[in-house]
Amino acid sequence: MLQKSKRSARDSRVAGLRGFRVAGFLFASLYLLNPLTLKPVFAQDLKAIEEGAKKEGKLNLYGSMREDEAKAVLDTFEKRYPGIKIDYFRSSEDKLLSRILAEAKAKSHNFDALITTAAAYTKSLGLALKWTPPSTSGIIKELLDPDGMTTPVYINTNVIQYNTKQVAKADVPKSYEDLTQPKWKGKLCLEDSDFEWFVGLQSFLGKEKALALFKRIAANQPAVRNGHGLVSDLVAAGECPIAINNYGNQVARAQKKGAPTDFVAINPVVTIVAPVVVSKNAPHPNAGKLYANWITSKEGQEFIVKNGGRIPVRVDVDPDPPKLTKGLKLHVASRMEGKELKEVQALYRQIWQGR
Amino acid sequence: MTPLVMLLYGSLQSGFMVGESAFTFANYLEAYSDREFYSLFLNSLIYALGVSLFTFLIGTLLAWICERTNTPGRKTFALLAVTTYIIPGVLLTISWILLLSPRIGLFNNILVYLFGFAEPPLTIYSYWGMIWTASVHLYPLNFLMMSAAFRSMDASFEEAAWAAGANNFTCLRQITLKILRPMLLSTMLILFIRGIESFEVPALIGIPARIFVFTTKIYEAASGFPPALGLAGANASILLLISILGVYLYQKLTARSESFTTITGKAYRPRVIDLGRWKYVFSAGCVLFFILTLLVPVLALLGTSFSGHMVALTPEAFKNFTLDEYRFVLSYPIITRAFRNSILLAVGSATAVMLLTSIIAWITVRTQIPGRWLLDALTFIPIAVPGVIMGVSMIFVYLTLPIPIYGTLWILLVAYVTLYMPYGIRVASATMVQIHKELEEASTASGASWAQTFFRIVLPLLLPGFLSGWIYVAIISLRELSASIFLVGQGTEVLSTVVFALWDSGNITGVAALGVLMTLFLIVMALVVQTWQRKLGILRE
Repeated sequence: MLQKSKRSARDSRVAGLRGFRVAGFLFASLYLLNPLTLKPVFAQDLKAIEEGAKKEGKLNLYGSMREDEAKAVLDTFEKRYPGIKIDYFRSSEDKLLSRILAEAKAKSHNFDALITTAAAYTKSLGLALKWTPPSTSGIIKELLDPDGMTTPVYINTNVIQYNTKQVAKADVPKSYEDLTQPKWKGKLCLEDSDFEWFVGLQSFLGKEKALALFKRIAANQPAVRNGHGLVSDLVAAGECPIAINNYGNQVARAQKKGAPTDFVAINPVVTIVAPVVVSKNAPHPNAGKLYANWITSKEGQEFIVKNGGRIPVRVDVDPDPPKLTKGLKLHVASRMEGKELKEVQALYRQIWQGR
Repeated sequence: MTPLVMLLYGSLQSGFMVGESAFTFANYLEAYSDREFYSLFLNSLIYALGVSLFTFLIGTLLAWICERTNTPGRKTFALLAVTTYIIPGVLLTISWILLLSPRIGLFNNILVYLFGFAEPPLTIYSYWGMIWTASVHLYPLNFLMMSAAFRSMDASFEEAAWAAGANNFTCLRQITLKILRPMLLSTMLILFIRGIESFEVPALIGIPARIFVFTTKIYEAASGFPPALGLAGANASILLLISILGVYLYQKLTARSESFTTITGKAYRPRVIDLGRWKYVFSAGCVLFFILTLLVPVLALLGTSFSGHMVALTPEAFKNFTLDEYRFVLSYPIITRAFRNSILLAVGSATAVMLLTSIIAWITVRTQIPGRWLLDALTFIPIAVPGVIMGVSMIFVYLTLPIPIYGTLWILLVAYVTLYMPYGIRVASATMVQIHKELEEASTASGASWAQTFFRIVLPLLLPGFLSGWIYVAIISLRELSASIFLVGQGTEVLSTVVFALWDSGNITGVAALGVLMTLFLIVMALVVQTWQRKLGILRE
């Protein structure tokens, strides 16, 4: 669809005549009809958004992509849609949300679009716009938001990571059960906030059974660590031969840098989705929408694979290496907040740290 | 004032900044009735006491060697001590893991190899490991403050002691340390609070060692979403209590301030102590100390930064030598801007903090205005406010007030000044106590205005303390993260947020390369400043 945008520009004079009728139809289609069946109308819709975005001339984007990764992506976007300048604010997921909330409390609405794993919280806060970008049709169905308010951009998989020098081929764990073997005593580690994985496994195995399994693994005294990158590096350095859980893309990146490490994914794989959300009170709503659509399009997705080593969400784009998702049963993790999160945290700490 | 109000107000709200708010004591109830609270408090106390005592010993001894003795190489030692503090805390902590871990620690491997121990003899995952790692990073703070104190003290008491037949050690113990009591107490107080507040070591070593401290709790409350800022605030209130108690004790113990004045109208110049042949022993000791606490950890960092991933320090580690990480860091899109912003902010906040606190110190020490101790306490209290609460409050305050500094460097400057006034005020007031008021009286008697007296008499006399406070505030500003992370925007990024971005996305080798570059940069800067000072004759030799 994006590739067609040049041609549509030439058609714009013709389109002008039909403008009124199209707008009315568009309005109806957005609210009444299934968006996936209405491709031609959406091309028109996208056109209007693009025009609008150019008039706005600016996009305030909040996200957790590192500046170096983001710069290449943003430059490409700015080149593709000249006249739109991106103002990018980068922070970790919870800090982004806190900033957005503080801004909202002061009634100063600044962000247009937000891309981070915690973006879904904006739904319950009433700050997300209900809007589905046209490019959604190419996204893996299991990853989609049933409410249609957030759109997946990249994912993280929860896998077992190990050091290939310290763990012999025959010893590589094939299940979580294998981690209960006494030979791993003092050789395991775990990040201190993998709550999604913790809850996900409970839902697959049943709470009782999962907790019993966790307790038997915990008997091997895993060292609890703070930060997924740190865990990955400590595994690579041999300080910790096996990480009970870590992020797949973290391991893949370490591998690319020559670190002696690999991962085992146990089906079903708890998957964390980082979606894009367009702000309900966006100062530049069209620019926000245009970016959300582009980053989830084939072009945008190929870019974040090549440039950031991210795991893409589209059926027509493969991750690098493909084994990050190939043949895996991806299970989208539910995000927790408030009281539920607090209880999970307490249980997590009790089991893994004996607190 | 703002941060304190925010801390107290926030801790009494149910959903501070992040939801429906209502007045409540629930946060305090939850914080103080938590079954972990008392064990955490005890752990924190042991850890902070250990760190402050150990840091104090290292810093004071080193300051004494550098300022008061003729030990060869003392200028270089002073420079190295300050350099240690610029290395990001996470990196130094990781270096120590690579050196002291029972599994891959280099020192353990060497000891096992040399003496054939069955078990690795050292472990970083203990109280001792934590205290050591934190202390060898924190001592420069103590070093700076004590250097200033040694530099501006009257030596006549010491000379009297020597004349009476005391040896160097007795003199140090009986006279020097007693005269310096205000500065010693100030330093101990700050060190203790820094120890309680420090985050890197408890997070990287404490958590795997299962030694949980107070900061772990505040961090847990403030991270995740929605952040329980009210709960973090309630937890931080214990720091507030300690700070107020500390200032009160300090005021009490230095109340008879006349007895500490050492800078009077008489000529004074601290005597350099001739250590005789011992000076070589001291020099060798210092060299060994810096090899152990600076060179070896930095080498460990270099190893990580050159190999693309974290490696155990074995000969094999250097096989994958690559400069990729340096290329990456130098081509990082916002790196020059972040360097520039950080330096502007460091210089700006250090200057503002020291000027403001000098004036406040003058008021609290010199004048008889009632309630002046309160002014001192108020300036000091922000030390208890966690950076994240500061950051979120600042967003709220400056988006609500019609002061258009949101998204500019100014908001960062305001945050830094507020956060670091407490450090400035301790240095400024401890130095001020040492200056006898007769010098100002002479100035006023000769017809000078208050401003003339302050800027031409008081400030120059404060200079040694002022400078060391300035350097300290400048360095900690360079490292400030928890408030900056909320306040930076496009164009106002700072180094610490770049370091955090790399760390947060798991690029530890990138952080290592950036850390090495920052350290080099600081050494070059310090050398430039030193030569420049020598040329202008500012530094009193």
